[in-house]
Amino acid sequence: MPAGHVLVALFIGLVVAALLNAQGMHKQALSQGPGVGRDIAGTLTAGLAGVSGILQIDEPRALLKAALGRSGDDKLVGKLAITAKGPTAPAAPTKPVYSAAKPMGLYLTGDSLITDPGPVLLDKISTNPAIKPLGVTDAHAATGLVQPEIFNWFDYLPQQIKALKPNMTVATFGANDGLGFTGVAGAEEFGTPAWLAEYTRRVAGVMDSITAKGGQLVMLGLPIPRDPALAARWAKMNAIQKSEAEKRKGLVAYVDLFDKLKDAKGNYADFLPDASGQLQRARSSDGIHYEPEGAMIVADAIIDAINELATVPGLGSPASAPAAPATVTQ
Amino acid sequence: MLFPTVTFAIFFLIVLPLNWLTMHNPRNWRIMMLVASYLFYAWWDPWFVLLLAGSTLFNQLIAVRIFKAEAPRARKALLWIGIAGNLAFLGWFKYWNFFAGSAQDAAGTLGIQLDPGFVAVVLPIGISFYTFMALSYIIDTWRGTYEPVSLSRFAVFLSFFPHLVAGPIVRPAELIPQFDNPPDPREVDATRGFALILGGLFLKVVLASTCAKLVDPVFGSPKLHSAPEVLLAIYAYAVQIFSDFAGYSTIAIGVALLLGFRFPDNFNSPYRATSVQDFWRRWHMTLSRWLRDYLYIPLGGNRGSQFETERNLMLTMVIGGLWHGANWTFLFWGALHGSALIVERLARGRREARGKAPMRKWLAWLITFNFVCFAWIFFRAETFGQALGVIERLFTGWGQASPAISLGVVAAVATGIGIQFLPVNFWADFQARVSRFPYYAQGAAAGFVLMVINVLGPAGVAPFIYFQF
Repeated sequence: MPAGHVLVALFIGLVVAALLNAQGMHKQALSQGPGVGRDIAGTLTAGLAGVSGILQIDEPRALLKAALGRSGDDKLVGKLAITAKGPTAPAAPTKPVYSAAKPMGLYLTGDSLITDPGPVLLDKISTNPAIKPLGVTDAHAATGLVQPEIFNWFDYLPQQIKALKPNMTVATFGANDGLGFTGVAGAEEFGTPAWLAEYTRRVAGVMDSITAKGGQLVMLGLPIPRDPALAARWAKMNAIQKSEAEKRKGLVAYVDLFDKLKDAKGNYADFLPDASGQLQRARSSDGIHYEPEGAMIVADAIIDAINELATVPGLGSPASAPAAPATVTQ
Repeated sequence: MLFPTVTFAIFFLIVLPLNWLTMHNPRNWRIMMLVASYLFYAWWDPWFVLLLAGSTLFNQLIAVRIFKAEAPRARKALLWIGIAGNLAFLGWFKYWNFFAGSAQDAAGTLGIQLDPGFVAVVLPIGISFYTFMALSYIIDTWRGTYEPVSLSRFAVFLSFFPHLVAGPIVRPAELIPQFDNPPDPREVDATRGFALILGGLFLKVVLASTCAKLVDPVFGSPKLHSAPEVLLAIYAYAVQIFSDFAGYSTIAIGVALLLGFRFPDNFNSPYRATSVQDFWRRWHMTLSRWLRDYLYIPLGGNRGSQFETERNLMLTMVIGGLWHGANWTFLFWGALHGSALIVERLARGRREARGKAPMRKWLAWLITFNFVCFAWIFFRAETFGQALGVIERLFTGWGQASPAISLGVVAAVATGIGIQFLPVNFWADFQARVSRFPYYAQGAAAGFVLMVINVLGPAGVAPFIYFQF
């Protein structure tokens, strides 16, 4: 085939694919952070989706999605179903007591930051008859509360709570939220008063949807990351999560992972001491996620938080790790 | 820049015409391709380009000095400087923390607290691939089988974007001569190129991503899964690692073909192998022959005693295992394969000495396939504890519900294994039939297949596994 024909064939292929996939591409374009790129991609894909819709070129994709039972994949999220009670949340309930006869249903969920501590925690409590894990760690990587277009926690969590009826939920959100709001409702830059107010509403909504049926929640704050700019953003989100948790004392316990994962100087550290004082790699190479030792620290912090909210026989507070040494190399 | 992204599609739509427009003038073409390849690499991190450029300059300097040096001792000294430099470069970025951590653990067992100075470095993508290609260049120069080329030719060879981040590991003699003998722009093997790109995308986006949905939770917490789930996850990982890596290689070969260049094949239905030796002739073929030609044979190959041959096999496989990652599990995976090759060799010798017929093919396939899948457990697991946890559940997790097994994963595993057994000429015949259609129909059909791949793949396609190597 002559090179000119190759180029034309490639161009035709990409145009056909773009028209056939226009709805999905439009949703993906709107899921980007605010900025010129999102605006351009959003406008271009909106045009493509319009043409594709008028000519009904989007039908094969829709039919195939329907056949696979994934009709809602391309749906754009408009108004979020958030029912936050806010500061008027109920007063602290009596501390529940669990036993082998009446085990605590435990549900672990969140973004990728639950992926490593989840299994470690489940492993630690696997022999405790007073705790009944409700499935495996329900992690949805690259999701958060800022981009429901990617994964809508506000729809998903109430369904999960209704289906599983957990007594205790351990959740973490925010690792992918240090960016502006996007979606059909419009974009808002990170950190503005409007952003902070909306993020507070979303965090409160998540907490209330998890505790709506009387269950309790251990809310994991974001761990200190290596990147100082990211740390500054996460500190703002942690402050919101902590403040909303305090408004729901007795129902929600907040775990401060900035503190738990700092070295002796109060800085981010890749390596932290284990229970025997030996330095171990705690954080993965991206400076965000956990290595097994880091996951162990988080799992121990979760056990402390569960003990704060409920009485579970055999779930003693884990032995605290020795203090970090004065120098931790990077 | 990842292949299955809109960004790459736009990048390629620009580079493809520039490639063919500058092809008649090799000097302009090299400048264009170098800029394009460095831009492709810089998309991850602009600092990576400095490392690649540094590696290029260092290896070119060494190769030219080896070529010009006359005294054998000087040539050998330069070769060792080159090898040491490349290994130090790779070692610093890839292995320092591993060896430092291992030393710390060893000291810890003796009651000594050691702070070996861990480094916070990000592993540059593709470093293992281009370092091995650079080693080929200086070793071939030292052997006298290849003469150094100009800096710009070598720079394009090392950075050529289709192979840059995950291979195939191309030899200088395979690619550099193609730069100076431009292909005929009227006869591009485009049908094959398109088919390879779409096939690779299907492997990666549909099969590998679907399998990952079972593999990740099972390997993350094996205790929470039943034995049938664990068993299926082990086979699913075999399909995932094949689809992920062969998918990337296939796309790379297809992209190069549209640009007018031919890469060596990297996979040849590895799961239809009937021995471990056969498996290594079909799996990551460009790495296997690199290890054979630059490690196994220089070590003595099978020319010495039986012990020396076995030692050479084991060393080659262990180093091959460590090439994949800085972890004892990779080393063990290599040792498992090395042991299997030795056992096979001994068994074959004994069988031949006794005049016995070879093992039945189906039985040989069954044993080989299951051995390869078993070894993959150690490749996938992050620790030995995790690997042993997976194996333990195979024996203790029976009689439980298996909710994680879905029709999608079963279909992906069956497809991934089934395609290994397609007739040898199946794809060639298929391409021959497609090539009869006019070019615009081929383009439109490719667009439709892209849509199907996009829909069949689960949301959130993970990065290619082999990028980390």
